[in-house]
Amino acid sequence: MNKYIKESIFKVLMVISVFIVMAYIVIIIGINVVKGGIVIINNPSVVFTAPGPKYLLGGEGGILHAILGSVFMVIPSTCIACVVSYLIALFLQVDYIKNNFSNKLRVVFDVLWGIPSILYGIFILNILIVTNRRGSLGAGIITLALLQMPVIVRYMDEALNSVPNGIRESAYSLGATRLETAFTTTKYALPGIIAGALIGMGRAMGDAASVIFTSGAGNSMPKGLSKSASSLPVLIFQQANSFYPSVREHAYAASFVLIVIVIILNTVSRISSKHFQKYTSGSGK
Amino acid sequence: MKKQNTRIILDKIFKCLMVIIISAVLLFIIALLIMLIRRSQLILSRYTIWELLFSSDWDPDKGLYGFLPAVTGTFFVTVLSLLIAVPISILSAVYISEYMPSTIKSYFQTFIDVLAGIPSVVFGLCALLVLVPLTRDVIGPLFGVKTTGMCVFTAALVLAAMVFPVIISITVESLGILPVGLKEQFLSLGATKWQLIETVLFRAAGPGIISGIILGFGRAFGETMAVVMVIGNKNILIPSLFSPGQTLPGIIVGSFNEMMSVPEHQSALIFISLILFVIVLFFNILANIIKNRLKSRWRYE
Amino acid sequence: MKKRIVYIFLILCLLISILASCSRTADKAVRHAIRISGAWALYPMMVVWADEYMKIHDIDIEVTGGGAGKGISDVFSNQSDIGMVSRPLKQEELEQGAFYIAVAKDTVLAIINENNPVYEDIMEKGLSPEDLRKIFLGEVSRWGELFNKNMEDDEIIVYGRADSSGAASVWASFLGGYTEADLQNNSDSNVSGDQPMANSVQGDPNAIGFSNMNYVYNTETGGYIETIRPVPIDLNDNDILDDDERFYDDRSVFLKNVSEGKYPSPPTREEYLVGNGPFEGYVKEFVKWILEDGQGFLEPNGYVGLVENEREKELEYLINESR
Repeated sequence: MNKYIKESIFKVLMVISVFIVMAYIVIIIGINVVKGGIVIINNPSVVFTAPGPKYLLGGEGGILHAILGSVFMVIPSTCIACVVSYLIALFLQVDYIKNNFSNKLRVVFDVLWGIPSILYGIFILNILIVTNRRGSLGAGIITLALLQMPVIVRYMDEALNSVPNGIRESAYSLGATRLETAFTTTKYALPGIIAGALIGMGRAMGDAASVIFTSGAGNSMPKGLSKSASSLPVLIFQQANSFYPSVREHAYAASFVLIVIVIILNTVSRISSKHFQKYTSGSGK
Repeated sequence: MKKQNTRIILDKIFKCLMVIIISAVLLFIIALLIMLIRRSQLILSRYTIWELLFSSDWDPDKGLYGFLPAVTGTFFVTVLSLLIAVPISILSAVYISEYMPSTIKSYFQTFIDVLAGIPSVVFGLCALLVLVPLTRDVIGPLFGVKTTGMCVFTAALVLAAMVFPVIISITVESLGILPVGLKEQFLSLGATKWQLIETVLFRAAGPGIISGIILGFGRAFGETMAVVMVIGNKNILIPSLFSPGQTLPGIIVGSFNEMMSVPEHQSALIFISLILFVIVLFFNILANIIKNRLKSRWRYE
Repeated sequence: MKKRIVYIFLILCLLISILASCSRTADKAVRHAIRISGAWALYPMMVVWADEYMKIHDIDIEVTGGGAGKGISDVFSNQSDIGMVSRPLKQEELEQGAFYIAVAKDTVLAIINENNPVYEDIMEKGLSPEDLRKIFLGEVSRWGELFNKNMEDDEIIVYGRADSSGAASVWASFLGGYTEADLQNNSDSNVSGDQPMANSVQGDPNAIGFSNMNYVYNTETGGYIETIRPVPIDLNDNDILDDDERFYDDRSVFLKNVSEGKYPSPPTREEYLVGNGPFEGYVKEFVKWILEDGQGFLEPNGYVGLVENEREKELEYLINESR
């Protein structure tokens, strides 16, 4: 076949592919904006009201329990995950262990990243069964922390790795201990670290499979670490196929809120890593 | 001198702390696995692995726990979604990285990242609203099939959407780090851009692209929520394109409510999650090996 | 750098204290709480009961759904104090110490869409239990076959329940001692929950499914809900609906016939409240109230009460803490 014809054919195919992908994105965001946004515009109190007693049967109430549940579950879990991941990521750097070993550990974390989130839920559920406890906010926090750890470790590791060697070496040459050098390199890697934390948070926000077993998935406001709590993705899953239109609409509204939060998190993450790159990359000061 | 000592002590403390944390995390994971294995023993003591894995009857009330349909369903849906997603993703990625002017390129990459971050339940919700009626009213009749819309095909379409960003971003990245010189050399011989792509770039970026596909496979395999919402949850051994099916995560989510009341059922579900874990593990390791092998075979320097 | 650490630390403290204060306010209230979960079939009624009981007692009652299986699971794992179960308990459940009290009766109906191709025939002649068995087990695939008619576009689309459903268990046993999985394996699609089931039937003229009465008859007006219609059962299989088989027009007539035993049982079933061992303390008080004053709320909400002597027996079991 004439190579020019081939080029044109494939060009057309490529453009079609790009359109398909764009169509998916547009449809998904469009549906959320249209269905969810309209619900919220017509009835803004949905976002601020707690569910009433007959909520699942089309009674009154809103999605506040899920929003608060999501916030109370994700923020502490990300904090815990960040702290632990930071220490692990530091450890993975050249300073503390040999390259071979750290590579093997990295593979472990890569594998952990690939585990479907439902398995994390089963893991924690097992512990709950064995210790005879119920699904609660606390258990949900631990699950989400475990879930985010591989992601955040990976990002922090990459960020710390990409700090130019010169900085490390000049710190050592001045007699700094490994700990102090670590802090110095962290300053340079901060954008990447923050990016990782935000991506982890985004992933935790959107995850339903792990939380649905462990957090109790109730219809009430989160009342404490040992009481059950719902979250936005769990609410969407439970109410998407409801018989009552008002309950379905709440699912759309929740989806809208969730998408907005996740998009904001992801965008801020990318902006921060790009923005600070200008100040910290390569040349140094 | 005193300050020197505190600094060194702090350093040592921190190192210990880190070692403790890492070992704690690793030990925790191993402990979880051991716990899961022990919990599965109940069902393994009553049925052999072959009976469970290869029997196609799933009827807990009668004591039948064959989850072969779920295994085949999972593979079927995953492979189907990859068949849809891979060509589209690679073509799009090539277009984005080679043909698109760089101003639009960054917008597109933002869009792709947005798609990557969208949670699974949202995909499921949109699938329920858009894809299920689409399959039922448009695509089904097109193929002359009557379907409820909740079928393997719809699930594959949804999964494809979740796999796109993975493959696209990795492919774009792999193509992006190729040296310009490589391209220039080839083009100077009078080749068209597509010839360049097909003969050189795919080989050069090959390992990256393949690892992207494998990563996509892993994501599609483990995706739970969106698939459960649209697949129809029926234990068919060999689902046809428009029939409902069942996936391993789907059985777990669908039955977990029943987990506690019948210990045997609970054990069966835990065994399923173990199997899922083993498959994913095996897969990841395989992916790593393939990637390394390919890197050495397709060297371009 | 040090400043930043201090800031982060402060924010962490703030977050933790917010969370802690959440639980502290709950504790300060020192209210007892009853957690109830389980069958969707009993869920609407339990919500009403909880509401009414909370008006006269200072107690917190939390009701969640999830299916009959979840009810029992939660009770065994101490996630709930009471489990709602809409099917007879299984041997393994009883062996683990489940204690049950019947509190109401309700029924499962086969549901179809009012735009069904053979709607008039079904309403005239009813479907016999054998017909229903053939439909749900996939032995008949077109609506026309049931009435010896040759029609177009009349494939039967059967919906089943994918989750652990009391309704499915009871319906399967009515059809001939089958199990939930038998229904699942022969349906065209399985959904999780009563509501998606009703949704699916409502959206497809050729669909048939099963659900408890609350998705057929409107609890307030007693009439049909949207496009969902019950399938009259031709009990004596004489291909026509006799006068005493015609009681599906509205809820009160239907309920009357259910309580008179004219509707078969199964799929009429008792709704149970299950505990991990006999009920005690304020939970016991609540269940006692349900068996006494609570019974008055059943009919207005579409449920059937226990017959008087059955009710007394259940009260006895509850008080004596054994059956």
